[in-house]
Amino acid sequence: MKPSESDFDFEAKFTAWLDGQLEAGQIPAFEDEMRAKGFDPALERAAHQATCNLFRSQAEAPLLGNPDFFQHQLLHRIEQSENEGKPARAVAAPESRSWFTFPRMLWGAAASLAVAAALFKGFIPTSGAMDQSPYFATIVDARVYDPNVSVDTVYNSRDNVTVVWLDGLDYVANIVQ
Amino acid sequence: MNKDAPPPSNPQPADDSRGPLPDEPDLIARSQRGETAAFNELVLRYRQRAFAMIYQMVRHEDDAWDLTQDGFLKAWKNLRHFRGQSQFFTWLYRILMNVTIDWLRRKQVQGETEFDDAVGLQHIEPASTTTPKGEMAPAARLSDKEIRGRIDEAVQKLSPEHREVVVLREIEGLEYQEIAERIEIPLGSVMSRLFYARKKLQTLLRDVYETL
Repeated sequence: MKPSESDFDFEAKFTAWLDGQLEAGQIPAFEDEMRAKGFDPALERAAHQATCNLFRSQAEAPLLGNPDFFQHQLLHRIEQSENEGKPARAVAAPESRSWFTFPRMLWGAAASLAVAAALFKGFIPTSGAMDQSPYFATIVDARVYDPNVSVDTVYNSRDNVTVVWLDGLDYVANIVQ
Repeated sequence: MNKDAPPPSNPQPADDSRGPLPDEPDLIARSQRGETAAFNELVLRYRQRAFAMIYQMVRHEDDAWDLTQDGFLKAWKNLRHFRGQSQFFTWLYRILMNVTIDWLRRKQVQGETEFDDAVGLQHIEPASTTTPKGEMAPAARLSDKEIRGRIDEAVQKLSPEHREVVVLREIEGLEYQEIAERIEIPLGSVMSRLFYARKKLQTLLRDVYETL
């Protein structure tokens, strides 16, 4: 229940009266008002005194425990809080500074594919060159069962020539004719 | 002037009793520029006073220790808002109390404590039902530890707002006007809160002071 204005006034006067701050001229009238509300001025003062004495007798606060640790921990938390303030700036910054952005990676992948394609075209022999060599076709088609016969090929793209190196055969049979 | 103003019952240890020294504005200015060493010096100066006040509010040493840390950390984060229009400690006090009251309120929401602020004058017991009834048998006397436990319990049943005024008045020994300025509420509200806080303590501690 919300106190009325007269209650509020009574409470304030009661407090002032207890603390000896009510003006002398107001005291008799206020004590009458107290009696009318069921409060005995003498008993009220005694009860207040007893409560205050009891309260104050146990009111001494202990000393702050571990004061050095208190100081250390507080500074540590301050530093942490200072660093926490930075991430808002720091998080965005590394992202914008990083080389590995998505568009760059995409361009990098495309460039790598282009280089790989160029290298393939430049260095890997094409089937067209091999088709043009009758000797190559002859060797490939030949069946030789002698374990002493071996063959190596080297393709030169500049001259479009394949060098066939045969070991263990006196001649290559011309069966292409 | 309040002739019955209670003496502060919590004398401050040496490291925090220096009060505002001439170098304090310089320490504050350096702290505002981000010098943790200067802020460290301010903390050294006020940590015990801050801890003692928070302890009176929460009546638990470990909680008070943690809340003092939180309060100083919050003060550091808000130091740029301090314009020097009040004493540094007055400004710091408001931060410490806000941290403490928020914590007490959270505890209340979590159901760990229950405050009863919805009390009207008609529910207040006159002292005739709470006055000491004379000497008890020695066996019924409570030990200091038990008394402290009962006071802790009683304080924990006060709302944070009631705790604050009663601590400032009965323990710190502040005048009503100083309390009003410190916690930024009207003078009449200070006196009304004091009335209910004292009455509630009186009711909760009645059986304790009856045994003394």
